[in-house]
Amino acid sequence: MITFLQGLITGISIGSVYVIVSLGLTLILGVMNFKNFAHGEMLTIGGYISYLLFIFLGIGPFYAIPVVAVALFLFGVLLQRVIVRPVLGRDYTTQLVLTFGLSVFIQSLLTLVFTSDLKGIPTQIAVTSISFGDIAVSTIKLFNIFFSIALVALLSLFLKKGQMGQFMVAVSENREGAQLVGINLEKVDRFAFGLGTSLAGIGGAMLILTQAISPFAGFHFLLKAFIVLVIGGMGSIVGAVAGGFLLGIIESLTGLYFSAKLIDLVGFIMLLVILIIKPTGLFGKK
Amino acid sequence: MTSQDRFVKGRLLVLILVAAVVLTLPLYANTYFTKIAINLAILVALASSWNLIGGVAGQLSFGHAAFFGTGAYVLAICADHQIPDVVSFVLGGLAAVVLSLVAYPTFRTKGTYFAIITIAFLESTRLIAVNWESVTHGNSGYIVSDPYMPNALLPYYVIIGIAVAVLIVSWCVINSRFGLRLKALSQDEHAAEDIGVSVRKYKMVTLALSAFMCGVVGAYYSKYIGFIDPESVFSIRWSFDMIMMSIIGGLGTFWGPVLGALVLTFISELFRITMPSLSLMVYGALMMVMIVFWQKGLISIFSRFAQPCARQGLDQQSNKQ
Repeated sequence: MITFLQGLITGISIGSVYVIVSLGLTLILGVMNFKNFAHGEMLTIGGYISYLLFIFLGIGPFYAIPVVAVALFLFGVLLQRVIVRPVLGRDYTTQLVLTFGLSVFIQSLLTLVFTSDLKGIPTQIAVTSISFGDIAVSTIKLFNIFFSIALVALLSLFLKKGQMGQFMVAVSENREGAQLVGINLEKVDRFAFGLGTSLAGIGGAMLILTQAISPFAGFHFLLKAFIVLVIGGMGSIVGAVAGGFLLGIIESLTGLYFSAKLIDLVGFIMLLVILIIKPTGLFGKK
Repeated sequence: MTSQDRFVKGRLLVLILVAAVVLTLPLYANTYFTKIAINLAILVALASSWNLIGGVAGQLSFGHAAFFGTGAYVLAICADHQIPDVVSFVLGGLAAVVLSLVAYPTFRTKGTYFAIITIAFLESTRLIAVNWESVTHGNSGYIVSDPYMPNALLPYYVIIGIAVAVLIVSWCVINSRFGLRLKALSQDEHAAEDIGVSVRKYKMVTLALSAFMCGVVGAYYSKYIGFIDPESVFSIRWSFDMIMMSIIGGLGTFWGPVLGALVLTFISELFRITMPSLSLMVYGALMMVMIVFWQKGLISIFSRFAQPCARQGLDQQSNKQ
């Protein structure tokens, strides 16, 4: 029982990163119907910024999170201007190949700068833990869980009450309609892409708290984010949250009861089975 | 008429010249160039096989490394049982065909989901190769018994033979009614179905053909390189290279993948010694530029040269108007 609970908490903690990264992906997807294959690299960049801040300025990894969020937001806005906007509305092959090319480009650029070795932040917090009865939980895992929940709450509040949030919801529901009632699509797109990218970056800053990263870490998380979206449904916030935690828990329990080598296989097989049975995703429309 | 005759003759002459150079290359080139030529032939064969399903039929598969890797492992296992090379190559191809039957349901998905599901498929095969240690030796890798002797002439001529065979198949497919139907279904599946193209059958056959050729090349690679592990042969890099070459050269065309392979080899040799990861960066950038600004690929430069008759016809038509 105790091992089970431990595994559960570890799973939720891994899932919290999945949740944040998938939320970013689903946001971009919902608002501008753009599938960003370079989304994983935004996570990697976020992780490396956090790493650089710690190594050169001694800024602790928790304080790095807001810096990463702002930096990646700006980077996202830039990407939207330079790369995304020209191909919006073009066929999916163009978008796919373009963002895949971007992903390769960023990966190799990061390899040039940081080499392909794993880079991590050595912190004291990693070893401290809080015990609840017989269960000891590391502080970082708890932080990740509560931080992601808070972020999700904030995001839903923003989408409900914030003006830009309302615009984003409107655009995701009906693009032409939103334009007709006077919403500036360009502005909303830019903001949505920035926010989505920023969320991926935050995911990277959270990830580097618990593990070291390499330039190729992001691609892995892109696949996970797609698995989450396929489980939870594309363009759905609740789905992304539920799917993210679920995937984390399933992976963690697989590692615990079967073999650590099978962890990644479970997600892929889930994806294969779901898509083959229902080619538009578990809660897909059409 | 005369200009067309001259054109055909000129083309034949070029073909004979290229064939002569290719066949005699190892006799005067040093081992470094022979090695590059072998790599180039591997890439040409892979890209041309991928191009049939990815380019002509328009199914952007990221999973073809799975077929390549399967072929590689089948040869490694066959080599342990002293099975003759030719048989192992064919077995490698057939194993890839079996895997392609397993992969067939992925066609139920479209667009981005198809790309994702093929990546998931590839990753699953890689993880199975990692976990199935009794057969594949897992992560520690497989030492292929009795690989090709380095610096021998045989591996060069074998891969040239394979590449030429793949090119002939590719030529036949692209310039046939079958190829035309594939092009039709790549444009609009429903419309193709309406005019009597059995979409599922055509996709299946093309995928199996493409998988078979990738499997054979994978088997050759295994024999040539002498050591394989899941990380190296089931790497998404192989899929990526196949896609890249076809896009740079020209998706769905016969010469596109060949041209793409030449460009890719040139870039990778340019940076190989100084900065290997720089070449990947250039690939990524090139891929972005090509898909946005030049979707027809580099081959479109030569399109005038490639189809003078069609061109002339068009010119005449426009003159009449």
